This record gives sequence, structure tokens and C-alpha cells, in this order.
Amino acid sequence: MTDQKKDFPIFTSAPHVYLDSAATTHKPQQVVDAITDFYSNQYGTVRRGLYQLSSQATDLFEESRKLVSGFIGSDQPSEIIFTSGTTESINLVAHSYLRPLLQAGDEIVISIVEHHANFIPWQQLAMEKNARLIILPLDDTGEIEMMEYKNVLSEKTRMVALTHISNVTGGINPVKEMISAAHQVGAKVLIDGAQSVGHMPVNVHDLDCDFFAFSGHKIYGPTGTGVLYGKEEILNKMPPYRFGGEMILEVSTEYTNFKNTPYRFEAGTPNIAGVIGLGAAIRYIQSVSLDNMTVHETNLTNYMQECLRKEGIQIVGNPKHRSCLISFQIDHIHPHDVATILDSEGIAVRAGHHCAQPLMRYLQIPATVRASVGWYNDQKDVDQLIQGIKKVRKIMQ
Amino acid sequence: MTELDLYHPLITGRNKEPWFFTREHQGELIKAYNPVCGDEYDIAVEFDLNDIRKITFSGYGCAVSKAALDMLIERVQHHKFADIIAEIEYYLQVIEMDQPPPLETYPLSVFQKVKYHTARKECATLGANSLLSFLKDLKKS
Repeated sequence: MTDQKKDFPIFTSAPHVYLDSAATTHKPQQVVDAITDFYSNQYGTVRRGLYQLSSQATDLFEESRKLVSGFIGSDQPSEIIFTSGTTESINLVAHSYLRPLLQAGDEIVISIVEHHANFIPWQQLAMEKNARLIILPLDDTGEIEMMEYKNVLSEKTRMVALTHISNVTGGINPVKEMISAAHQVGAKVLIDGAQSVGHMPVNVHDLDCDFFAFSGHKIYGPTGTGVLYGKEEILNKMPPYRFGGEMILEVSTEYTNFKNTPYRFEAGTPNIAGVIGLGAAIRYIQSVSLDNMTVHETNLTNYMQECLRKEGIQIVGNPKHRSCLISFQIDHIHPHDVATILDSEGIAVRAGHHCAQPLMRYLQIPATVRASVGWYNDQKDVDQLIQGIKKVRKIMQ
Repeated sequence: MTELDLYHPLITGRNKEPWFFTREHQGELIKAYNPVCGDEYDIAVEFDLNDIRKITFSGYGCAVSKAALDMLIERVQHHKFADIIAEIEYYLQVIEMDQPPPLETYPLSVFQKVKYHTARKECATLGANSLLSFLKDLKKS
């Protein structure tokens, strides 16, 4: 077992080849310990108790906010809103930022590679407001056509919502350039960072995006945790998304005044243990160095791509800049059959439409197999995948 | 084979060469669709007065869904309406059994192994559930 795998207890208790980190990552011992320790020794609610446990819990919770802020390069922790995941983060922006200002005839720009979480909220809002949803196509390599992108931007564009990295093709979008182009026409930009954070350095200040969304469980943190970054001046003008306790300054029978960001968007008791676990996950990434992780995952993905090509596997998309995932098809074998046979060999991959049905229709394929790597994977895992693929072919052909 | 090995030669064989797969349908078409994986079949039911004369299908899907539908059609082909409903309901029960009937007497038992692959239950029952739902609606009307 590699040193990296030793950090993750699941590889001891249930040894397997895990190649589905794009869906969710396993958790290092530090994250498990942080959550266990919180519930065992430090548990209390946040921001409302006057006793020591509550005070400590609040400190731990807010410490995580500072860690997230530093990790993605935001200017201040108040720009970090904790949510349940990328999906809620994007819905929050659609509902709270865009919905109040969107008019009939306005335009929202997305791309055909978007995950449903960054597709449906905009589609539904456009339908509701009689606005136009512009869906950017791909070029032959599976990347967004930049010329087409710049051509569709206009003074009618209210929002550009793009994925940083496609969860199907693995292609890394040139989001900095795309954000700059959108700002030139006065549009706001949301970046879906579900596949980028934790796999490459992200600096929201440098990108100059208006909103950035990602999930904790994809960066070695707990499920049910997510982040929405937003520029403070925008967030403070947005109405709250949900109403309840802890997000108010004053409530009377006639009116309610809300706190500033981030608290105006965090109604109710938050996922305290999850957020503390997310902080532990970021500390873990920093302890092994994000740069080390990125280099390791890039090298491993390149190796996997080379091995798959040698086997004559059809890779879906050929982006110039690829992240740590590869979608592919094996001959005419259904991806679910591939995944089940690989599972019987102890290899976990994802198969299906990857919550990207518009892209599947665009590519005229019903589904793909996807193998994605994380910090804990090594070349042996890839070698076992290739052996598994040979078995798939033997059984199915 | 272990209990985890779903791909019995009965399944792979029928996937490669299904008996009732056709591109030309007659009769009423039933849509069978699994949104999880995009599997999609058209099941064609031809009637002969109040009974079913012939069932065929076309479309796209995994080995499990295709073989299961094909072998189920073999089981119910040319049967009386009520018997077909009973056969399909029995098959759906077999999928959940700990001790299914032996393959020699009931070849569809081969799909009981989806019990160990929860996500694949939908594949093994896609055609059966679609056909059953159609027949029950028909019975009501």
C-alpha cells in the first residue's frame, strides 16, 4: 500500500481500486478524526450558545471559513457561504442573484458540457422569465469554441455560468479569459468548480469570477458540505435564499432586517461537524501540498490515457488541457456492463450519463465509463483497470 | 462463478443474439426507459382478439436489460393474457429470492444475482415492469 493510501482508512478496511474520485473522494483519517472529536469532545451549536462548548464550536466553524477563504484565494472569509454542496450553491445564485433582476429577452450563457446542477437552474429560470438560454457548443476536441463564446456575449447577457472542468471530458476551460470577456459586456460570471478545487490551484481573486461553487465531499471532506464564494459587494445586495434563525438582525411583526453575508444565507443550524470536517480536509491537502497532488494526479492521468490508448479504447473528448478524469467507451459494450464486471474485480469506476444528458445527446452517445484519479491512486490501480478491461472484453465478446 | 459474477453465458449469449429483437414492429408499442443509464426499448405487443399473439422489441440497452427482456418474452410468448401477468409477477419475485428456482427449470433465475448488484435491479426488471404496467392498465380498461 502506498503512503497516500495509508492516510485513508477505507483502503485498510475495504481494499479496492477506487477510480471514482470525480464523483466523491475517500476521507483521510484526519477528517474522520476531526468529526469524531467534535461530536465526542467539543459538540455544541454555533453562534447562539453562551456556554463554552458553543463558543468553541463557533471558533472551529469560523476557522473552517477562514481556511476555505485562504484555500481559494478570496479576499475575506465573509465571502464564503457554507451550503450543502455545489448544487445548492448554484441554485442560491440563480434564485437570489439572477431571479430578481432577470427580464424577458435577457440572456444566460452556459455550455453543453455543464453538469445538470449548472444547467437546470438556469434553464428553469430562463423558462420562468422568458429569457434566452444560450448553450455553447463544442469543437472537435470537446472544448468550448471560444470564438462562438465571444460572439454570443452582448449587453443582453446577464449571467455566464460555466464549469471549470468538465466532469465528462475532463477538459479544463480557460475560465480566466472567459470571465474577462463576460465582464466586458457587464455580465456576471459563476464558475462551477466541483471538479477543479482540490485538483488544481484555484484563486477566485485572480480569476475575478463573481461567484464560485464547489463541494466538500469531492476534496476529501464530508458529504453535505459545499461552498459558495461571491464578491462581498454583490452578496450583500442579494436577498436571502432561505429564511429562519441566525440570519437576522431584527424581526418584528411588520418587517425583518437581515445580517450581512455570509450569515444572511445560512439560515438555521448549519452542518457544523461537516464544515469542521471540511476544514480538516483542507488542512490535509495543505499538509501534503496541493502542488504535489496536482503533479501526482496529472502524471497518473497521462499514464492512464496512454494505457487506454494502447488498448484501443475510445476516449471521449480530447481536450488540450485535461484534468484527472477520462471518459471512455469499450467497443460496443454498455458502460453499465463494463462497470459491473470491473466491480467484480474490485475496481470502482463510474458509468452512465454523469448527470450530463444534454452533452450525451450532443455527442450522440447514451453513456460512458469514467475513471478518475485522486491523491491515493497509483500506477498499480491503473494497471488493474487495464487488466479489468481485458476481462470485460473476454466476457462480453 | 461466484455470487458476484452476474455475467452468466445465458446473459451474454442472449445479449449478443436476442431471439425477439427486431427492427420492424407491428402492434402496440410500449416504451421502456431507464433514465439512470439511458437504456430505451420499444416493446411491441400484437393482439389476437383478446389475447396476445406476439411480443417483440427493439432499442438500446445493457446486456442485462436486453437479455432479461428477451428471455422474459420467450417465457410469456403465445400465453394467455392473465398467464402473462402472472409470469411477469413471478419473475419479479424471483429477483428478490434468496433461493431462486434452479436454472434448469427456470432460466430467468440467472438474473437473481442482481440482488448482489443493487444498481442493476432496474436493468433486470426494466422490460418486465414496463410490460406489466401496460398489461395491468389494459386489464383495467
